[in-house]
Amino acid sequence: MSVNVLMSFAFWAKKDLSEVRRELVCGKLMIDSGAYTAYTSGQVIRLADYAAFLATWRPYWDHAVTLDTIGDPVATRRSTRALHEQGLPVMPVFTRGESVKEFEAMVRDCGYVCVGGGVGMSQDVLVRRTQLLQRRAADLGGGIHALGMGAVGLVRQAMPYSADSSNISNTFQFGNIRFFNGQEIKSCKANDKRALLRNWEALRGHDINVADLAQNGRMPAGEFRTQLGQAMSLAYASADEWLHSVATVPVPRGVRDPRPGPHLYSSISVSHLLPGVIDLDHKLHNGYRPPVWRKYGRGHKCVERTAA
Amino acid sequence: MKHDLKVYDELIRNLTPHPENARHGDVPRIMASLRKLGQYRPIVVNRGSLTGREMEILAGHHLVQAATELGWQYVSITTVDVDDDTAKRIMLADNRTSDLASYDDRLLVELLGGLPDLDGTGYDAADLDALESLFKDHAWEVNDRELQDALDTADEDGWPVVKAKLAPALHARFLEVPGSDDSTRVTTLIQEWDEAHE
Repeated sequence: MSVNVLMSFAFWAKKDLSEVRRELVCGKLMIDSGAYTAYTSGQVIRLADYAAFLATWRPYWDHAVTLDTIGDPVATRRSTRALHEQGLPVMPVFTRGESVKEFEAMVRDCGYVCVGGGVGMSQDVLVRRTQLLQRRAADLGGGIHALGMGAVGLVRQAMPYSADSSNISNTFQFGNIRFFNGQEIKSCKANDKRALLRNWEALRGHDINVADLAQNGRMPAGEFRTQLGQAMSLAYASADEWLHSVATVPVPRGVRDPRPGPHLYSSISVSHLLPGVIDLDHKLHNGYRPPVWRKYGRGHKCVERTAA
Repeated sequence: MKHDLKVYDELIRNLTPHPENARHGDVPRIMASLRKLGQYRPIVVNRGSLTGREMEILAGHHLVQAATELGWQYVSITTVDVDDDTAKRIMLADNRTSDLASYDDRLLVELLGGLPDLDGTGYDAADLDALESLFKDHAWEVNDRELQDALDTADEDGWPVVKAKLAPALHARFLEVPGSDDSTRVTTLIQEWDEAHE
Protein backbone atom coordinates (compact mmCIF):
# COMPACT_ATOMS: atom_id res chain seq x y z
CA MET A 1 0.00 0.00 0.00
CA SER A 2 1.47 3.33 -0.63
CA VAL A 3 -0.13 5.87 1.69
CA ASN A 4 -2.51 4.61 4.37
CA VAL A 5 -4.10 7.32 6.45
CA LEU A 6 -5.76 7.20 9.84
CA MET A 7 -8.08 10.12 10.57
CA SER A 8 -9.72 10.74 13.91
CA PHE A 9 -13.31 11.95 14.14
CA ALA A 10 -12.21 14.11 17.10
CA PHE A 11 -10.10 16.17 14.66
CA TRP A 12 -11.92 15.77 11.37
CA ALA A 13 -15.62 15.83 12.25
CA LYS A 14 -16.27 18.46 9.56
CA LYS A 15 -14.04 16.99 6.86
CA ASP A 16 -15.42 15.93 3.49
CA LEU A 17 -13.94 12.44 3.18
CA SER A 18 -14.79 12.20 -0.51
CA GLU A 19 -12.02 14.78 -1.12
CA VAL A 20 -9.55 12.63 0.77
CA ARG A 21 -10.61 9.49 -1.09
CA ARG A 22 -10.18 11.22 -4.46
CA GLU A 23 -6.47 11.69 -3.78
CA LEU A 24 -5.79 8.25 -2.37
CA VAL A 25 -5.33 5.95 -5.36
CA CYS A 26 -4.78 2.72 -3.49
CA GLY A 27 -3.93 3.92 0.01
CA LYS A 28 -6.41 2.89 2.66
CA LEU A 29 -8.41 5.24 4.83
CA MET A 30 -9.15 4.23 8.40
CA ILE A 31 -11.33 6.26 10.75
CA ASP A 32 -11.24 6.20 14.50
CA SER A 33 -13.17 8.22 17.00
CA GLY A 34 -10.10 9.85 18.56
CA ALA A 35 -11.32 8.53 21.88
CA TYR A 36 -7.94 8.63 23.54
CA THR A 37 -7.30 12.24 22.49
CA ALA A 38 -10.80 13.16 23.60
CA TYR A 39 -10.28 11.36 26.90
CA THR A 40 -7.02 13.18 27.64
CA SER A 41 -8.41 16.57 26.62
CA GLY A 42 -11.78 16.31 28.32
CA GLN A 43 -13.65 16.35 24.99
CA VAL A 44 -16.85 14.32 24.79
CA ILE A 45 -17.60 12.28 21.67
CA ARG A 46 -21.24 11.35 21.29
CA LEU A 47 -22.01 8.00 19.73
CA ALA A 48 -24.79 9.51 17.62
CA ASP A 49 -22.41 12.11 16.12
CA TYR A 50 -19.75 9.53 15.37
CA ALA A 51 -22.34 7.19 13.83
CA ALA A 52 -23.71 10.01 11.64
CA PHE A 53 -20.19 10.87 10.45
CA LEU A 54 -19.42 7.25 9.58
CA ALA A 55 -22.77 6.81 7.82
CA THR A 56 -22.34 10.00 5.77
CA TRP A 57 -18.93 9.00 4.48
CA ARG A 58 -19.45 5.23 4.34
CA PRO A 59 -18.48 4.89 0.65
CA TYR A 60 -15.15 6.56 1.24
CA TRP A 61 -13.55 4.88 4.24
CA ASP A 62 -12.10 1.38 4.23
CA HIS A 63 -12.10 0.63 7.95
CA ALA A 64 -13.51 2.32 11.01
CA VAL A 65 -12.89 1.70 14.67
CA THR A 66 -15.71 1.60 17.19
CA LEU A 67 -16.19 4.39 19.73
CA ASP A 68 -13.77 3.28 22.40
CA THR A 69 -14.68 4.31 25.95
CA ILE A 70 -11.30 4.39 27.67
CA GLY A 71 -11.20 2.13 30.70
CA ASP A 72 -14.70 0.78 30.14
CA PRO A 73 -14.74 -2.30 27.89
CA VAL A 74 -18.45 -2.88 28.59
CA ALA A 75 -19.39 0.58 27.30
CA THR A 76 -17.11 0.04 24.29
CA ARG A 77 -18.86 -3.24 23.46
CA ARG A 78 -22.23 -1.47 23.79
CA SER A 79 -21.09 1.16 21.28
CA THR A 80 -19.85 -1.52 18.89
CA ARG A 81 -23.20 -3.30 19.02
CA ALA A 82 -25.10 -0.06 18.48
CA LEU A 83 -22.95 0.87 15.47
CA HIS A 84 -23.29 -2.62 13.98
CA GLU A 85 -27.08 -2.37 14.40
CA GLN A 86 -26.95 0.80 12.32
CA GLY A 87 -25.21 -1.13 9.54
CA LEU A 88 -21.77 0.35 10.25
CA PRO A 89 -19.16 -2.45 10.14
CA VAL A 90 -16.85 -0.97 12.76
CA MET A 91 -13.95 -2.88 14.21
CA PRO A 92 -14.30 -3.78 17.89
CA VAL A 93 -11.52 -2.79 20.30
CA PHE A 94 -9.90 -5.31 22.59
CA THR A 95 -8.17 -3.67 25.51
CA ARG A 96 -6.61 -4.29 28.90
CA GLY A 97 -8.62 -6.31 31.36
CA GLU A 98 -10.51 -8.31 28.73
CA SER A 99 -10.17 -12.08 28.49
CA VAL A 100 -8.95 -14.40 25.74
CA LYS A 101 -12.54 -15.60 25.32
CA GLU A 102 -13.74 -12.05 24.74
CA PHE A 103 -11.00 -11.54 22.18
CA GLU A 104 -11.90 -14.73 20.36
CA ALA A 105 -15.56 -13.76 20.32
CA MET A 106 -14.63 -10.44 18.68
CA VAL A 107 -12.53 -12.20 16.03
CA ARG A 108 -15.31 -14.71 15.32
CA ASP A 109 -17.84 -11.88 14.98
CA CYS A 110 -15.80 -9.40 12.99
CA GLY A 111 -12.55 -10.96 11.75
CA TYR A 112 -10.53 -7.76 11.92
CA VAL A 113 -10.13 -6.49 15.49
CA CYS A 114 -8.34 -3.48 16.99
CA VAL A 115 -6.07 -4.06 19.94
CA GLY A 116 -5.62 -1.05 22.18
CA GLY A 117 -4.50 -0.37 25.71
CA GLY A 118 -0.82 -0.36 24.83
CA VAL A 119 -0.17 3.09 26.29
CA GLY A 120 2.34 2.80 29.12
CA MET A 121 3.13 -0.83 28.36
CA SER A 122 6.81 -1.77 28.14
CA GLN A 123 7.98 -2.62 24.62
CA ASP A 124 8.71 -6.29 25.29
CA VAL A 125 5.30 -6.86 26.84
CA LEU A 126 3.58 -4.92 24.06
CA VAL A 127 5.33 -6.92 21.33
CA ARG A 128 4.63 -10.26 22.99
CA ARG A 129 0.97 -9.45 23.58
CA THR A 130 0.53 -8.24 19.99
CA GLN A 131 2.33 -11.26 18.52
CA LEU A 132 0.22 -13.74 20.42
CA LEU A 133 -3.07 -11.97 19.75
CA GLN A 134 -2.30 -11.73 16.01
CA ARG A 135 -1.39 -15.39 15.97
CA ARG A 136 -4.56 -16.41 17.77
CA ALA A 137 -6.65 -14.17 15.52
CA ALA A 138 -5.02 -15.69 12.43
CA ASP A 139 -5.84 -19.19 13.72
CA LEU A 140 -9.48 -18.09 13.73
CA GLY A 141 -9.23 -16.55 10.26
CA GLY A 142 -8.88 -13.00 11.54
CA GLY A 143 -6.22 -10.41 12.20
CA ILE A 144 -5.53 -7.41 14.38
CA HIS A 145 -4.84 -3.72 14.03
CA ALA A 146 -2.41 -2.61 16.74
CA LEU A 147 -3.66 0.82 17.79
CA GLY A 148 -0.87 3.36 18.27
CA MET A 149 1.84 0.73 18.07
CA GLY A 150 4.15 3.33 16.62
CA ALA A 151 7.67 2.22 15.86
CA VAL A 152 8.24 0.27 12.66
CA GLY A 153 10.75 -1.93 14.52
CA LEU A 154 8.01 -2.99 16.94
CA VAL A 155 5.61 -3.67 14.10
CA ARG A 156 8.26 -5.83 12.43
CA GLN A 157 8.76 -7.84 15.60
CA ALA A 158 5.11 -8.18 16.50
CA MET A 159 3.76 -8.54 12.94
CA PRO A 160 0.13 -7.52 13.36
CA TYR A 161 -1.95 -7.37 10.15
CA SER A 162 -1.88 -3.58 10.53
CA ALA A 163 -0.79 -0.85 12.91
CA ASP A 164 -0.85 2.91 13.07
CA SER A 165 2.16 4.92 13.80
CA SER A 166 2.46 8.06 15.83
CA ASN A 167 1.11 11.28 14.54
CA ILE A 168 3.03 13.17 11.85
CA SER A 169 1.39 16.37 13.07
CA ASN A 170 2.85 15.97 16.56
CA THR A 171 6.25 15.47 15.04
CA PHE A 172 5.97 18.86 13.35
CA GLN A 173 4.72 20.47 16.50
CA PHE A 174 7.93 19.45 18.26
CA GLY A 175 10.12 20.57 15.38
CA ASN A 176 11.09 17.08 14.24
CA ILE A 177 11.36 15.57 10.79
CA ARG A 178 10.80 11.87 10.26
CA PHE A 179 12.48 9.66 7.70
CA PHE A 180 12.83 5.97 6.97
CA ASN A 181 16.36 4.55 7.15
CA GLY A 182 15.63 1.05 5.92
CA GLN A 183 14.89 -0.41 9.35
CA GLU A 184 13.06 2.20 11.35
CA ILE A 185 11.36 5.59 11.17
CA LYS A 186 13.91 7.96 12.63
CA SER A 187 13.56 11.60 13.47
CA CYS A 188 15.85 14.56 13.73
CA LYS A 189 15.34 18.15 14.83
CA ALA A 190 14.86 20.60 11.98
CA ASN A 191 17.13 23.11 13.74
CA ASP A 192 19.92 20.64 14.55
CA LYS A 193 22.48 21.08 11.77
CA ARG A 194 24.64 18.20 12.97
CA ALA A 195 21.69 15.82 12.89
CA LEU A 196 20.73 17.10 9.44
CA LEU A 197 24.28 16.54 8.22
CA ARG A 198 24.45 13.08 9.78
CA ASN A 199 21.23 12.09 8.03
CA TRP A 200 21.47 14.15 4.86
CA GLU A 201 21.61 11.15 2.57
CA ALA A 202 18.44 9.61 4.03
CA LEU A 203 16.67 12.99 4.14
CA ARG A 204 17.54 13.69 0.49
CA GLY A 205 16.17 10.25 -0.31
CA HIS A 206 12.80 11.63 0.83
CA ASP A 207 13.18 14.69 -1.42
CA ILE A 208 13.80 16.91 1.59
CA ASN A 209 15.83 19.98 0.72
CA VAL A 210 18.43 19.66 3.45
CA ALA A 211 20.30 22.80 2.39
CA ASP A 212 17.20 24.99 2.75
CA LEU A 213 16.39 23.41 6.06
CA ALA A 214 19.89 23.91 7.42
CA GLN A 215 19.94 27.54 6.25
CA ASN A 216 16.53 28.23 7.76
CA GLY A 217 17.58 26.79 11.10
CA ARG A 218 13.97 26.13 12.10
CA MET A 219 10.83 24.35 11.01
CA PRO A 220 9.68 26.10 7.83
CA ALA A 221 6.22 27.50 7.18
CA GLY A 222 3.84 27.51 4.21
CA GLU A 223 4.46 25.51 1.07
CA PHE A 224 7.74 24.04 2.28
CA ARG A 225 5.99 22.75 5.39
CA THR A 226 3.45 20.95 3.23
CA GLN A 227 6.32 19.41 1.25
CA LEU A 228 7.93 18.24 4.48
CA GLY A 229 4.64 16.65 5.53
CA GLN A 230 4.64 14.83 2.21
CA ALA A 231 8.23 13.69 2.70
CA MET A 232 7.32 12.30 6.10
CA SER A 233 4.35 10.49 4.65
CA LEU A 234 6.76 9.04 2.11
CA ALA A 235 8.77 7.65 5.02
CA TYR A 236 5.70 5.72 6.25
CA ALA A 237 4.78 4.57 2.75
CA SER A 238 8.33 3.26 2.21
CA ALA A 239 8.37 1.58 5.62
CA ASP A 240 5.05 -0.04 4.74
CA GLU A 241 6.50 -1.47 1.53
CA TRP A 242 9.63 -2.61 3.35
CA LEU A 243 7.53 -4.45 5.92
CA HIS A 244 5.80 -6.37 3.11
CA SER A 245 9.14 -7.40 1.71
CA VAL A 246 10.29 -8.99 4.98
CA ALA A 247 7.15 -10.85 6.04
CA THR A 248 3.55 -11.46 5.19
CA VAL A 249 0.55 -11.55 7.50
CA PRO A 250 -2.65 -13.16 6.19
CA VAL A 251 -5.62 -10.99 5.28
CA PRO A 252 -8.32 -11.17 7.98
CA ARG A 253 -11.74 -12.49 7.09
CA GLY A 254 -14.02 -9.76 5.78
CA VAL A 255 -11.23 -7.45 4.55
CA ARG A 256 -11.60 -6.95 0.83
CA ASP A 257 -8.01 -5.95 0.08
CA PRO A 258 -6.21 -8.99 -1.35
CA ARG A 259 -2.76 -7.82 -0.25
CA PRO A 260 -1.39 -9.44 2.89
CA GLY A 261 -0.09 -7.36 5.79
CA PRO A 262 1.53 -5.86 7.63
CA HIS A 263 0.10 -2.47 6.71
CA LEU A 264 1.21 0.73 8.29
CA TYR A 265 -1.09 3.71 8.77
CA SER A 266 0.05 7.19 9.66
CA SER A 267 -2.35 9.41 11.52
CA ILE A 268 -2.90 13.03 10.59
CA SER A 269 -4.57 15.61 12.78
CA VAL A 270 -3.60 18.96 11.27
CA SER A 271 -5.36 20.32 8.20
CA HIS A 272 -2.39 22.01 6.55
CA LEU A 273 -0.48 18.71 6.42
CA LEU A 274 -3.27 16.61 4.95
CA PRO A 275 -3.08 17.86 1.33
CA GLY A 276 0.61 16.99 1.02
CA VAL A 277 0.13 13.60 2.64
CA ILE A 278 -2.72 12.40 0.47
CA ASP A 279 -1.35 14.02 -2.68
CA LEU A 280 1.70 11.78 -2.28
CA ASP A 281 -0.34 8.68 -3.13
CA HIS A 282 -1.46 10.33 -6.34
CA LYS A 283 2.06 11.41 -7.25
CA LEU A 284 3.58 7.99 -6.60
CA HIS A 285 1.04 6.47 -8.96
CA ASN A 286 1.89 9.07 -11.57
CA GLY A 287 5.55 8.20 -11.73
CA TYR A 288 7.04 10.23 -8.86
CA ARG A 289 10.12 8.23 -7.84
CA PRO A 290 12.15 9.77 -5.02
CA PRO A 291 15.20 7.63 -4.07
CA VAL A 292 13.63 6.10 -0.95
CA TRP A 293 10.65 4.93 -3.01
CA ARG A 294 12.91 3.59 -5.77
CA LYS A 295 14.58 1.50 -3.11
CA TYR A 296 11.64 0.25 -1.04
CA GLY A 297 8.60 0.85 -3.20
CA ARG A 298 9.72 -1.09 -6.24
CA GLY A 299 7.63 -4.11 -5.22
CA HIS A 300 4.50 -2.00 -4.78
CA LYS A 301 1.39 -3.80 -5.94
CA CYS A 302 -1.36 -1.39 -6.73
CA VAL A 303 -4.96 -2.35 -6.10
CA GLU A 304 -6.86 0.72 -7.14
CA ARG A 305 -9.61 1.57 -4.68
CA THR A 306 -12.67 3.26 -6.06
CA ALA A 307 -15.36 4.67 -3.83
CA ALA A 308 -18.13 2.11 -3.34
CA MET B 1 37.28 8.38 -22.11
CA LYS B 2 39.07 5.04 -22.45
CA HIS B 3 41.95 3.90 -20.26
CA ASP B 4 44.50 1.29 -21.15
CA LEU B 5 44.03 -0.98 -18.16
CA LYS B 6 46.77 -3.46 -17.40
CA VAL B 7 47.23 -5.09 -14.04
CA TYR B 8 50.65 -5.45 -12.45
CA ASP B 9 52.19 -5.68 -9.01
CA GLU B 10 53.61 -2.55 -7.41
CA LEU B 11 55.50 -1.91 -4.20
CA ILE B 12 53.13 -0.42 -1.62
CA ARG B 13 55.74 2.10 -0.57
CA ASN B 14 55.63 3.61 -4.06
CA LEU B 15 51.91 4.45 -3.71
CA THR B 16 50.58 7.69 -2.20
CA PRO B 17 47.08 8.17 -0.72
CA HIS B 18 45.02 10.92 -2.35
CA PRO B 19 45.06 13.86 0.10
CA GLU B 20 41.33 14.54 -0.38
CA ASN B 21 39.94 11.06 0.04
CA ALA B 22 36.80 11.56 2.15
CA ARG B 23 35.96 7.90 2.61
CA HIS B 24 36.36 6.01 5.89
CA GLY B 25 36.64 2.26 5.37
CA ASP B 26 36.46 -0.69 7.74
CA VAL B 27 40.13 -1.76 7.62
CA PRO B 28 39.84 -4.78 10.01
CA ARG B 29 37.11 -6.32 7.84
CA ILE B 30 39.17 -5.75 4.68
CA MET B 31 42.15 -7.37 6.42
CA ALA B 32 39.99 -10.40 7.22
CA SER B 33 38.90 -10.56 3.60
CA LEU B 34 42.49 -10.28 2.30
CA ARG B 35 43.60 -13.05 4.64
CA LYS B 36 40.91 -15.40 3.45
CA LEU B 37 40.49 -14.43 -0.20
CA GLY B 38 43.59 -12.51 -1.16
CA GLN B 39 43.38 -9.44 -3.42
CA TYR B 40 40.86 -10.04 -6.20
CA ARG B 41 40.55 -6.49 -7.60
CA PRO B 42 43.36 -4.09 -8.55
CA ILE B 43 43.94 -0.74 -6.88
CA VAL B 44 43.35 2.20 -9.26
CA VAL B 45 46.36 4.53 -9.31
CA ASN B 46 46.92 7.82 -11.14
CA ARG B 47 50.33 7.84 -12.82
CA GLY B 48 50.46 11.60 -12.25
CA SER B 49 52.00 13.02 -15.44
CA LEU B 50 49.14 15.58 -15.55
CA THR B 51 48.96 16.38 -11.83
CA GLY B 52 52.61 16.35 -10.87
CA ARG B 53 51.87 13.87 -8.08
CA GLU B 54 53.15 10.39 -8.93
CA MET B 55 51.33 7.12 -8.22
CA GLU B 56 48.42 8.57 -6.29
CA ILE B 57 45.68 6.12 -5.23
CA LEU B 58 42.21 6.89 -6.59
CA ALA B 59 40.33 3.73 -5.62
CA GLY B 60 41.32 1.18 -2.99
CA HIS B 61 42.80 3.34 -0.21
CA HIS B 62 41.63 1.07 2.56
CA LEU B 63 42.66 -2.07 0.76
CA VAL B 64 46.22 -0.67 0.60
CA GLN B 65 45.99 0.25 4.30
CA ALA B 66 44.82 -3.27 5.17
CA ALA B 67 47.55 -4.87 3.05
CA THR B 68 50.16 -2.70 4.81
CA GLU B 69 48.79 -3.78 8.20
CA LEU B 70 49.14 -7.39 7.08
CA GLY B 71 52.78 -6.77 6.17
CA TRP B 72 52.35 -7.10 2.41
CA GLN B 73 54.93 -5.33 0.27
CA TYR B 74 53.15 -5.54 -3.08
CA VAL B 75 49.59 -5.04 -4.27
CA SER B 76 48.10 -5.46 -7.74
CA ILE B 77 47.31 -2.17 -9.38
CA THR B 78 46.01 -0.75 -12.61
CA THR B 79 46.84 2.79 -13.69
CA VAL B 80 45.19 5.74 -15.36
CA ASP B 81 46.77 9.04 -16.26
CA VAL B 82 44.27 11.82 -15.64
CA ASP B 83 44.19 15.46 -14.59
CA ASP B 84 43.30 16.60 -11.09
CA ASP B 85 39.63 17.19 -11.84
CA THR B 86 39.12 13.74 -13.39
CA ALA B 87 41.10 12.11 -10.59
CA LYS B 88 38.74 13.61 -8.00
CA ARG B 89 35.70 12.55 -10.02
CA ILE B 90 36.95 8.96 -10.31
CA MET B 91 37.58 8.87 -6.55
CA LEU B 92 34.10 10.24 -5.77
CA ALA B 93 32.30 8.08 -8.32
CA ASP B 94 33.98 4.92 -7.09
CA ASN B 95 32.64 5.50 -3.58
CA ARG B 96 29.31 6.99 -4.52
CA THR B 97 28.23 4.31 -6.98
CA SER B 98 28.82 1.72 -4.31
CA ASP B 99 26.83 3.80 -1.78
CA LEU B 100 23.87 3.94 -4.12
CA ALA B 101 23.64 0.20 -4.61
CA SER B 102 21.14 -1.79 -2.56
CA TYR B 103 20.53 -5.45 -1.79
CA ASP B 104 17.91 -8.04 -2.32
CA ASP B 105 18.00 -8.94 1.39
CA ARG B 106 16.31 -12.29 0.94
CA LEU B 107 18.87 -13.44 -1.66
CA LEU B 108 21.67 -12.06 0.50
CA VAL B 109 20.52 -14.15 3.48
CA GLU B 110 20.35 -17.26 1.28
CA LEU B 111 23.80 -16.56 -0.13
CA LEU B 112 25.40 -16.04 3.28
CA GLY B 113 23.48 -18.91 4.86
CA GLY B 114 24.69 -21.26 2.12
CA LEU B 115 28.37 -20.75 2.99
CA PRO B 116 30.09 -23.04 5.49
CA ASP B 117 31.41 -19.97 7.36
CA LEU B 118 31.45 -16.20 6.96
CA ASP B 119 35.22 -15.72 6.93
CA GLY B 120 36.36 -13.00 4.58
CA THR B 121 32.86 -12.03 3.43
CA GLY B 122 32.77 -8.80 5.43
CA TYR B 123 29.78 -10.16 7.36
CA ASP B 124 29.85 -11.63 10.84
CA ALA B 125 27.42 -13.83 12.77
CA ALA B 126 25.64 -10.80 14.26
CA ASP B 127 25.06 -9.39 10.76
CA LEU B 128 23.61 -12.68 9.60
CA ASP B 129 21.41 -12.95 12.71
CA ALA B 130 20.03 -9.48 12.09
CA LEU B 131 19.34 -10.27 8.45
CA GLU B 132 17.80 -13.65 9.19
CA SER B 133 15.52 -12.17 11.82
CA LEU B 134 13.92 -10.12 9.05
CA PHE B 135 12.65 -13.27 7.40
CA LYS B 136 11.85 -15.49 10.35
CA ASP B 137 8.62 -17.34 10.00
CA HIS B 138 6.20 -15.84 12.46
CA ALA B 139 3.94 -18.86 12.47
CA TRP B 140 4.00 -20.83 15.68
CA GLU B 141 1.53 -22.55 17.91
CA VAL B 142 -0.04 -20.40 20.58
CA ASN B 143 -1.41 -22.25 23.56
CA ASP B 144 -4.11 -20.80 25.80
CA ARG B 145 -1.91 -20.64 28.86
CA GLU B 146 0.81 -18.71 27.05
CA LEU B 147 -1.69 -16.23 25.64
CA GLN B 148 -3.45 -15.74 28.99
CA ASP B 149 -0.07 -15.18 30.72
CA ALA B 150 0.88 -12.58 28.13
CA LEU B 151 -2.44 -10.78 28.60
CA ASP B 152 -2.17 -10.88 32.40
CA THR B 153 1.36 -9.46 32.25
CA ALA B 154 0.22 -6.79 29.83
CA ASP B 155 -2.77 -5.88 31.98
CA GLU B 156 -0.52 -5.24 34.95
CA ASP B 157 2.24 -3.54 33.00
CA GLY B 158 2.60 0.19 32.99
CA TRP B 159 -0.48 1.21 34.96
CA PRO B 160 0.19 4.34 37.01
CA VAL B 161 0.77 3.77 40.72
CA VAL B 162 -0.79 6.43 42.94
CA LYS B 163 0.61 7.11 46.37
CA ALA B 164 -1.58 9.07 48.76
CA LYS B 165 -0.89 10.30 52.27
CA LEU B 166 -4.03 10.05 54.37
CA ALA B 167 -4.73 11.25 57.87
CA PRO B 168 -5.39 8.29 60.21
CA ALA B 169 -9.11 9.00 60.46
CA LEU B 170 -9.51 9.25 56.67
CA HIS B 171 -7.45 6.11 56.19
CA ALA B 172 -9.74 4.28 58.63
CA ARG B 173 -12.72 5.39 56.58
CA PHE B 174 -10.97 4.40 53.34
CA LEU B 175 -10.56 0.88 54.73
CA GLU B 176 -14.29 0.75 55.39
CA VAL B 177 -14.96 1.00 51.62
CA PRO B 178 -15.88 -2.48 50.35
CA GLY B 179 -13.09 -4.16 48.42
CA SER B 180 -10.27 -6.64 48.83
CA ASP B 181 -7.41 -4.20 48.08
CA ASP B 182 -6.67 -0.49 47.69
CA SER B 183 -7.16 -0.53 43.91
CA THR B 184 -10.65 -2.00 44.27
CA ARG B 185 -11.50 0.56 46.99
CA VAL B 186 -10.35 3.47 44.80
CA THR B 187 -12.35 2.10 41.86
CA THR B 188 -15.43 1.72 44.09
CA LEU B 189 -15.08 5.27 45.37
CA ILE B 190 -14.72 6.70 41.86
CA GLN B 191 -17.74 4.75 40.61
CA GLU B 192 -19.81 5.95 43.59
CA TRP B 193 -18.68 9.52 42.88
CA ASP B 194 -19.56 9.17 39.17
CA GLU B 195 -23.02 7.80 40.00
CA ALA B 196 -23.65 10.59 42.51
CA HIS B 197 -22.71 13.24 39.93
CA GLU B 198 -24.37 11.84 36.81
